[in-house]
Parts: sequence; structure tokens; C-alpha cells
Amino acid sequence: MNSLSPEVALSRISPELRPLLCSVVRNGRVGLDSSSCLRITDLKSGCTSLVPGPCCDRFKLHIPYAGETLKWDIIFNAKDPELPPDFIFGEDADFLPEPSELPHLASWDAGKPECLLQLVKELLQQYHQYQCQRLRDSSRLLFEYDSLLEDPNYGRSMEIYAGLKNSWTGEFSARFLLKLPVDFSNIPIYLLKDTALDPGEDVALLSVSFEDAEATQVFPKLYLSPSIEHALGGSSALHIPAFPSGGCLIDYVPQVCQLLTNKVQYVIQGYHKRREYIAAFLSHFGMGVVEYDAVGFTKLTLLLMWKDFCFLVHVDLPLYFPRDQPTLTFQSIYHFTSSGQLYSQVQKSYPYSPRWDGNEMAKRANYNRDAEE
Amino acid sequence: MEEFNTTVRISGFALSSLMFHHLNSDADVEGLILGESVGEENCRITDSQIDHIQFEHTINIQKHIPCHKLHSFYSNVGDVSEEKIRPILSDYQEENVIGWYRQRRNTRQQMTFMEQVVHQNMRKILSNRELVFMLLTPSQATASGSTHRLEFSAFIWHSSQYINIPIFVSNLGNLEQQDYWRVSGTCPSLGQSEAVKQHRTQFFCSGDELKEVRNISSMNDDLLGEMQKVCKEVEKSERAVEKLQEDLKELKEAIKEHSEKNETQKHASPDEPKENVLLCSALRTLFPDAPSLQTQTLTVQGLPVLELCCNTDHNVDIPTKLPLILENQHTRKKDTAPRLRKKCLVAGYSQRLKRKRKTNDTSESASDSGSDTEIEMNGQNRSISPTF
Repeated sequence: MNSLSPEVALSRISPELRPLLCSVVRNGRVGLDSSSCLRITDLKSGCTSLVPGPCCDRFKLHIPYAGETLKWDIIFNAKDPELPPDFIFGEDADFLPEPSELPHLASWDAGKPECLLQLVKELLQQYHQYQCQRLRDSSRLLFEYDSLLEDPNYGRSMEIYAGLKNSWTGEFSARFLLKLPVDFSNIPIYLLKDTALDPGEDVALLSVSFEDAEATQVFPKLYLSPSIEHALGGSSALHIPAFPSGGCLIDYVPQVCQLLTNKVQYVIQGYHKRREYIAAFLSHFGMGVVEYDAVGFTKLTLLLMWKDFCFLVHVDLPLYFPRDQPTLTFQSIYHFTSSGQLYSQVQKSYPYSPRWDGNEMAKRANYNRDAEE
Repeated sequence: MEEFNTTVRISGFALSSLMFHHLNSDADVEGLILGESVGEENCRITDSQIDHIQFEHTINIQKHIPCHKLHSFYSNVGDVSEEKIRPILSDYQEENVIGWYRQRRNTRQQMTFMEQVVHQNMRKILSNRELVFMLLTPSQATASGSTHRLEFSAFIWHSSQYINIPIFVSNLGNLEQQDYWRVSGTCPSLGQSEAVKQHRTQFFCSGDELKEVRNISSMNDDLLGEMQKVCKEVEKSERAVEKLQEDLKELKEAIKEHSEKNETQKHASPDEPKENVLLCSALRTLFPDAPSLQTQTLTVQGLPVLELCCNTDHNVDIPTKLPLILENQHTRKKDTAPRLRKKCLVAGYSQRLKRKRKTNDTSESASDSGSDTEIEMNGQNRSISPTF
């Protein structure tokens, strides 16, 4: 199976169908995992080989859903482009949507480029219902689903994929994918802009895999969009707790949500605190300021003098300031080390309290400087 | 204990006409299937008195009616319209409809979403609820397009799901080995059919031979005749070539014999002396009146044989070939007397000269002392002498 770039796929499609597919491959973000686009593979034609190309009118559409990838065959007819497409839903042979609940199928308009994308979204909604129906094979998992459904924070942003029940062992597995209702809007812009990838929507998804129907083997995993992950300090910065034995999703998911929210708050508060800190230092040591980070407020360099002895002080503020103590580095402007660097000394153990405000911290730092010298 | 067994059968020409319909279309095609559905209940009683009941359901596909276009009897959401089916059936009865078919290229052998919906709706509308859906999926088997594959199977709705049933193709009749015939054959004997008798003349000649076969045979005969003619021409030309080769061989042998003969003759007789034409021409030019200098034959005593002097004009271009001769000749004409003299030093020859002098009583005297004298060669001494 070879994935085709959007341009290649569009060039091989029959011209009458090209606008429909253009909307799918370029704007086709469906479901909770909107960072992944819809992909098209296995382009084929329903015409004879005597018909000159491009005349492909059937293909496989890859749709991300609940951590899985659905592979649906979509069948058009290049000779009758005004007819709606037909579908083969991959391995879900018993998935049969209700046609009357597909408005874009009933009133199919081949002239509207977004018609196919809207039809796919409507089919996905019914597919979600179909998967939820399959949870009835396990009362335990059905309970998990119903309890989450009642909570408006999670019920509306949930995707479920239920695996096939093993007729021999009776084993049944399912995966829940939930979009966590965490507000990322107050994260400073500078933390979000440095990602190389197109960030898209800032989203946090929690995937919980139940390997058996009795929920004895549960594996949670948190997925963050690239910008959020970068803002929080990377993939290793946030560790979610393990799913408690005997626990249930309605208790676990809010816990993870709170943890993530606290983390985001730390980052936001840290930003404001750092700004306050830098402002206080500027007011106390205004004449001696060499440079400071005016965007993220993570660094400050001062040129100070004590009894005709001038020296530099570098202040590094960590991401989780004020919880984490800033690092002070004293650097001489006269002396070099054997390796040719300016002589410096790092100072971490100085009087500090995260409960002090910026002004207090500046004063204390001043006293401490005199004491050191 | 009950057992259900469903079989779908189709005749060879019905299947081939189905395939032919799709081959001539650049899109998917669909239509209705006509035939008959036969059910049979077999009850097997054994010694243990346990009834084993087997239901055998045989669906015979006899004919298909293609639709002119897709979606001709159902809407976008799969709602089947009975009013739209009737025109398609035309003279056939709705009871004869046993299902419908679809042919789509390069797709899976699996019912699509719309096909399932349409099939369910057809089951509701048509009186025959044991409808069969026949799916044919041609595809390209090789990348070069030299080989194509056609898969076909039937689907029926049973126990809340669609089950896939293989189709048996009856070509000339039922070829299975059976002890007893429990059901009628799918194809009646062609010999008894009135329809066959009516259309027979379109396909058969008077001698019960297929027209196409006769045409092919006559073309084959013509081809054979043409090939035989060509073979004869080839044979003729081959023979001519063979004859020419033999003639050539004889000539070569003759030439070889002749050359061998000439060589032996050449070795048997001594080589004839080759004349130095340039020397001869030079001597003739320089000494035109001295025949003794123009002979190439000498006696044993070394005297020239005048009778054998060369009188042939060799047509040598003296100015071109012997330019020095002319220069010398011109110089000598200035320095020497007009009459050529040659000194004769041979003793025997001087005696003859004396005798001649005595008889002729000439005023000029010659001595043996070696004074120049004019010698007249009369060639009296004819002895054979070495030549040069």
C-alpha cells in the first residue's frame, strides 16, 4: 500500500471528480485527532484500459479514528460523475449506516466540492454509534462508556473502537480516545511559536486501551499536539499516573485532566512570575542591566561593581519558576581560567523562597551579592 | 437435525453473456437476474431412527436483463421503486426475478453499502424473498494488462447476515456424477427445443455443420493451397540453385585441371628465353646497321648467329624509356665515322674474313693485328650455342 501525496493523487483522479477529492486531501481533518489528515491510496479505475487517463474513480481512504486507521473503499464511476459514491467499510463488514440519516447522500450534489467530506463525517458519526453498540458485548466497558457519556465534559468528545470478540477465548478489547477539556489559550505565544511543525489546533488526547472486558489490563497514554508538548517542556515533562486497579474512567480521566491543567497553570504562572521578577530586578539594578530576555523572561545579565571591582551576574530562570529556584552565575571581567574562559562561579544555595514576590527576591538577591563579595 | 444447503447455478452462455455485457462498458453495470429457485427436502433415516433432514435450495440463473444505466431502479439512498423495475422487465414476469447483479472493475469481492441497502429493499418489494445478489469483479492480474481475472460469486441474506455462495457453471449440462437424478437439469436438450429449431438456420448449414466452422474450414483450405504453391516455387528455385552449384563445381574442376596441365607443361619444357626488349630496342637504335649486335644467339665459339637476330619492332618509346640512348646517339654521331665498325677478336672468324677478302678483292684491307674492320654477318655457322 503506497501513500500518495495529495498532488499525485489529484493528478490521477478523473477530472470530474477532482474537486471532491481536493476538498478531502487538503482540508480533510475529521475526528478528534485533527492533526492527521485524510490519506488516499490504491487509486484504480472502473474504466477499461482503452480509456485514456486520468480516469481513476475508486480509491482507499485512510481515516484516523480512536487511535486506529479506518480504511474505507470509495467507489465512484467516472462515466457517471453525478452519481453519489458507494462505500466498502473495510473489515467492518457488518457496519451498515442508515441512509436516511445521511443528508449529504440523499441530496448528493457533485457540484459541491465539500460534499464528499461532509458525507464522510456523517458516516463517521454513524460509525461511532456502531462501535458504541458493540460495547454491549461487555457490561464493564459499557458501564465505562455510559458513565463518560453522562459527563458533558467528555461525552461529546469521545471516540471508541471496539475490537472483535474472540469467539474461542471470549476476550474482548476496546480503546477509548477522549479529548481533554484543558484550556491552552493562556499559554504564552512564545512557547508555541517555536515548533517546526504546523501546530494546528492545540489539543490533548487521552487514549485508554482495555485489553480485556473485565478491565484488568488497562493502558493509558496521553497525546499532546506538538506545540503543547513543547510548551510544557517536552514529552518527558509530563507523566500521567497508571490506571488504578479496579478504577474506572469517570474517576481517572478527571484526574489526568487536573494534572494537565495544573501543569499548564504552572507554565502560565511561571511566565508571569518571571516577568515580575525581571521587572523587579530592572527597577533595583536598572543602571547595571546588560541584557535580558524580553520575550520569555528567562535570562537577565547585570554588570555590578563593588569597591571598584566590576563583575557580571547572569540570572537564569527555569520553566517552573518560582517553584524551581533561579540560578545565579557570577562572572569576572578580569580573570580567565586556564581554558581561556572568563572565570565564573555558579550560585544556587542562596536564601530563596517561592512565596516571595519579585521585589522581595530582588532585595534579597542584593543582600546576598554583598555577602558573597 | 436440520441442515440448510444453498447452491447457485448458471449456464455457461448466461455467464458469458454477462461478462460480454460488462466488457463493452466503460463503467460499472447492473441488472436483473431471471431464473428459477428449487427447494428440496431430503430426509435421511438411519438405524438409530434419528431423522436427518437436509434442505437443498438450488437457484438456477437462466437469463439476465441489463439496465441501461446505474441507479435506474433505486434512489441515492437505495429506495427501490417497483414502478421502475417493471419497464426493465418488459415482457417478463416479476415472479421470474430471482435477484440482481452488479459488475464493477478493480474492487473487492464484497458487497458495498448501497448494494446491501438495495438488496434489503428489493427483498421487501419483490415477492421472492430468497433473492440472490450476483457480484462480478474483473481486475487486472498483471501490471502489463496481458492477463485479467474475473471473480464472481453470489450473496444471499441468511440469519441476519449476507453469506457468500460459490456459483457452479453448467456448461453443457449437469456433468456431476450422480446415481439418480433428483432435480431436472438446468439446460434442456437442445435437440428438442423449438427455439433452437427456429434459430438453427442462422448458425447451421444444411449439412448440420456450424456456418462459422465451414467458413473457417474453407479459409483453411485456401491457406493450405497457397502454402503448397509457395512450397513448389521454393522447391523449383532450390533445384535451380542446386544445378547452378553443380555447374559451378564442374567449371572449377575444369579450370583446376587446365591449370595443372599448364603447370606440368611448363615444368616439362625448358623455359623459353625471355627477350630483353629494352636492350634489343637500344641496340637497334644505336646500331641499326649492325645485325650482329641484334642477335641474342652465339655459337659455341662465341660468334653471333645472324640468322637468329630479332627483327621485331617492340614499339618501345625510346625518348621515354631510354632517354640516355638518344643523348649518347647524338654525341656519338658527332665523334665517330658514319660507318659502324666492330673489332673482331676471334681467331677463327679472322680466317674466314681473310678468305672473303681474297675473293671479293676489296680496296680495303684488314689485318689480324686488330684494326677496325667492317664485318658482315652471314650466319654461316649455325651451331647451337648458349644464349643470353
